[in-house]
Amino acid sequence: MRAAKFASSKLHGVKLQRTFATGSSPLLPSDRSLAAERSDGLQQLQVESAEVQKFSQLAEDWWNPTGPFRPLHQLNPVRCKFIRAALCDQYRLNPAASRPLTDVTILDVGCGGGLLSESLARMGARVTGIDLSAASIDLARAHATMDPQIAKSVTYQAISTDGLAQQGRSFDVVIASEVIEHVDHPPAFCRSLADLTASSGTVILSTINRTVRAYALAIVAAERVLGILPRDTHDWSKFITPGQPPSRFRQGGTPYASGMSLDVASGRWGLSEDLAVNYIACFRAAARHAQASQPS
Amino acid sequence: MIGTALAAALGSNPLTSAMNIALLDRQAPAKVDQRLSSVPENRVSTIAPATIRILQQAGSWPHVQPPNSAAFSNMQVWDSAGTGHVEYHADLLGADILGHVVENSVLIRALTQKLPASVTSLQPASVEAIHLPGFSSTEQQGGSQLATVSLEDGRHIRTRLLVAADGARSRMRSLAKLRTVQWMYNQKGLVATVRTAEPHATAWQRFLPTGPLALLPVRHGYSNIVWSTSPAHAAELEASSPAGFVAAVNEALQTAPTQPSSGLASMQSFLQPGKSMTVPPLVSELAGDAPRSFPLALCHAGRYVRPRFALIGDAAHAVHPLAGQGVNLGFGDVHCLAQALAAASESGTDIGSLAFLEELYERPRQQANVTMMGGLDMLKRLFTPQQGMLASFRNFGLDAVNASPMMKKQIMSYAMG
Repeated sequence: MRAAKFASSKLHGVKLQRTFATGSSPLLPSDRSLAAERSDGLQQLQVESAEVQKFSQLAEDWWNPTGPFRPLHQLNPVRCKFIRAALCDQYRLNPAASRPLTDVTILDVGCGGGLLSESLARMGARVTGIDLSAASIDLARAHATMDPQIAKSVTYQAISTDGLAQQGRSFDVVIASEVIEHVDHPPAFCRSLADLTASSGTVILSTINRTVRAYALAIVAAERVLGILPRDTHDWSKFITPGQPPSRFRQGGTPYASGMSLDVASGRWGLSEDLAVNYIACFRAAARHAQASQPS
Repeated sequence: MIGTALAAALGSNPLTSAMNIALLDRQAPAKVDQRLSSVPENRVSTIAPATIRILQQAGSWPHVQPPNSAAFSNMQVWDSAGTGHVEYHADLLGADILGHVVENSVLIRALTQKLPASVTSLQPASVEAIHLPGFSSTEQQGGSQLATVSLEDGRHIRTRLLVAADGARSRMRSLAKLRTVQWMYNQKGLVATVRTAEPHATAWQRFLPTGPLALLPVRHGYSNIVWSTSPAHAAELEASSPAGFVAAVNEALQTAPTQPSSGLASMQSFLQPGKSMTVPPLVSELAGDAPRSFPLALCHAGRYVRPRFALIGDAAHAVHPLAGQGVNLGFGDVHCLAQALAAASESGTDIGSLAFLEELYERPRQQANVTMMGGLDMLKRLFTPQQGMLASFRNFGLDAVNASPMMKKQIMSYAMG
């Protein structure tokens, strides 16, 4: 779904897997036909602007909790909890505070209607949300004006990651949630994320995609190519083998990577130990000089 | 009281203590430094251990605990129609007490004392109108507009969540167009403060033909009467002299059962060999304010929430006072909503969003409240007709409960939260 937002990032050479049909969400766990389509990974779209259009047609449903984006609404509290805990630990912020992320700058890549951006703003962060769908950005802006506190702490822009990097922008934290699995060239995409991350900043990736291949590409790209290192681990390869879920990476009790699982009966997402398929992970970007020495 | 309790509970959790909270009431705020009246007031609440824990968490308990309230460690429920009775003792549960009886004014003062600095008190204030976003998803997509409360003095308050804690006849509830199921019991609840011949630590409750009568210990050796009875009888009691009132209470509590030789008597003695009920202390005088009564009704809102709006306490559910559970259900709402708001703070969730309010507040509380309300209503109905087989069976049922520690323990654990 979010793939559409990077569709025109031609500098990345990003190609898209076809991940959704008009009018329904690719995230719907029950949609088997979509999952099957995704796992073959063969259908790639050339007419990228059409995909953005499709996405824009859904845009007005972003804030409908029972509409096509229902899975994202269900997932949102869980990913926010992880992001909060991980950032509090990393930056030694008080996790018991009501707005612990005060003055932390965050880039929400593929922000859609602003579900994640608004939640991060409520935790105190200064958030920039970007998306390639102008309709989504319009809706996100309109929604933000409903709450004065959100309105003053969130900015939305219809722009690609490259476009933003060319403006010389950088952020303490760059988040690509439910995005990377749709990107066909993760190394290039990750590089653009790293370009937007301040020195020693943080990149957070999450996916509830079911294809391990996309995940593997993303993780390998993140580590090997970009010098964005997961904390306290040097071996990401063990991270990516389905069937061998590794233990959580912990530091001071806070998971730096966590599985996300859906309890089908209750429809609730929760954090879990199983990282094999659905996960959210926090990476600390290497300092700039170290990054420069990484092979690309 | 319940609204103040919510503000105090939110103030005690760092995740929610920075929230901007406005407390509105028609009446002027409670004077925090006011001393206790020499005679207890007649509006009291029976608070269960679960409620005590909530007060402890909110930091209010030191202002509620004895000598500002009275603990009771025994409870005896018996019937005017026979010798059937149930006695509950705290030690059956391994607890020290079953609960406390506390004046509502003491609770309100204790909670007010613990309000966080972020609370703005708009008291007295009169609400003229409220504006809430609709239920429809199209309205929510356009953005969940904030709720607006318009006061009669022309001020407007915009809020992410409007909580109505304005009692059984909630005006906020009708302004929000939330419907209720309700029925009157054709009974009134009469309250009074009395002195007893001896001090006691038992909650006494006798089921009379007209309804239950409770004698509860309150602070400083006084007791409280909660008498549910017919409107005519309530009016008669209110009009009677202090001596006449005392005589009526003693007669109601002390007279022998109307069916002493019930056919089930032999069964009862088999169930409880040598066990007979304890006679409550005599009431010696009426104290404090004159007895007064109020109509009793059961009332339950079909929905507790809508976008940017939530009902708590009696505004959501008013119950028969016969087991003193009303205030405990309200505190249960407070605890649940305060925890939900803390979870929302932790995940950056909009506290006024319908999906959030439904999942973390309405669903769990409706389940808990419906169970308790159904039980109370059934109990009430069971004890209403007073002759024939039903009375005998009820009588037998009380003894059967009394003879079964397992069953008693379950009932008690449930009532104690």
